[in-house]
Amino acid sequence: MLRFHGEAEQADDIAILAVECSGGREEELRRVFALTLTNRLDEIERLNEAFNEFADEHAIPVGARRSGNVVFDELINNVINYAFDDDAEHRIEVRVELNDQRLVITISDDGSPFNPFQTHPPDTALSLDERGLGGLGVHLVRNMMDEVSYNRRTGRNVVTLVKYLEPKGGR
Amino acid sequence: MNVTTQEIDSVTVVRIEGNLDTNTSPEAQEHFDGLLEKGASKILVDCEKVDYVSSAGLRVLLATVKRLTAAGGSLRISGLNETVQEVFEISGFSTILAVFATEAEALKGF
Repeated sequence: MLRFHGEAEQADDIAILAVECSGGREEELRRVFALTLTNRLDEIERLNEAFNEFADEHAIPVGARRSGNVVFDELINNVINYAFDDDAEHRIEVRVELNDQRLVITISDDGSPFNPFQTHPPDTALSLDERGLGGLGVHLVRNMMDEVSYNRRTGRNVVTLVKYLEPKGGR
Repeated sequence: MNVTTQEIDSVTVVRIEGNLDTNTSPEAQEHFDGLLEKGASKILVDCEKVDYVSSAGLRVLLATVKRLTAAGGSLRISGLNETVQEVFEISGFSTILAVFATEAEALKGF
């Protein structure tokens, strides 16, 4: 994985920075949502409630907000259940950045290196009797988001997800 | 999550309010297990007031429908919002569960 940003990505970063700094408007700064969770399942509920408030404040379309809820439930659940080899408390960092066109979600943890997107998608064409549900959560994430990526960075798993937002007035 | 149950003719209507996710699924599963133990054979799950369903919720629905059909019963589901519908389509659940637009439609001929 690339440790340093490529040319195009860097330009993007600068553009975002410019928006955040223009006049130092709080309105712009508040379009970033960040929360630190500990590795307990009830933290998912706290995250989703806080995310829903953020979504309300910034009029994020309901479909994108709900997709975010599902994705948080799947990925944070995975991290809590599978990433840690000990019983210690761990911090999971969640960040959501919103602009007019997209929602960028970053989730990072200090667990064992694991790329959730390397797993094989489940066979969703199987009949009722044959269905198991392994891998379904990640399959949902991959399909409900427009871009998904994984990086191992300074001892942390970093998952980045992008959801494109519908134009204003759209459904 | 809040679950209410009503018997309409021979159908057990289960109305769920809230989310079907990691934190609510154990309680939802208990609720369905209780209905199965009491011998319910036609279950209609109305999701009109469900905000979102994750794979943990799908797991509950799948376990319930499997037990129910093994015992000769059947399950219908209604009132899915666009996101829940999307989750059903991506997971293939829309082809293995009988999905109806509204509770009233699902009750017809059940």
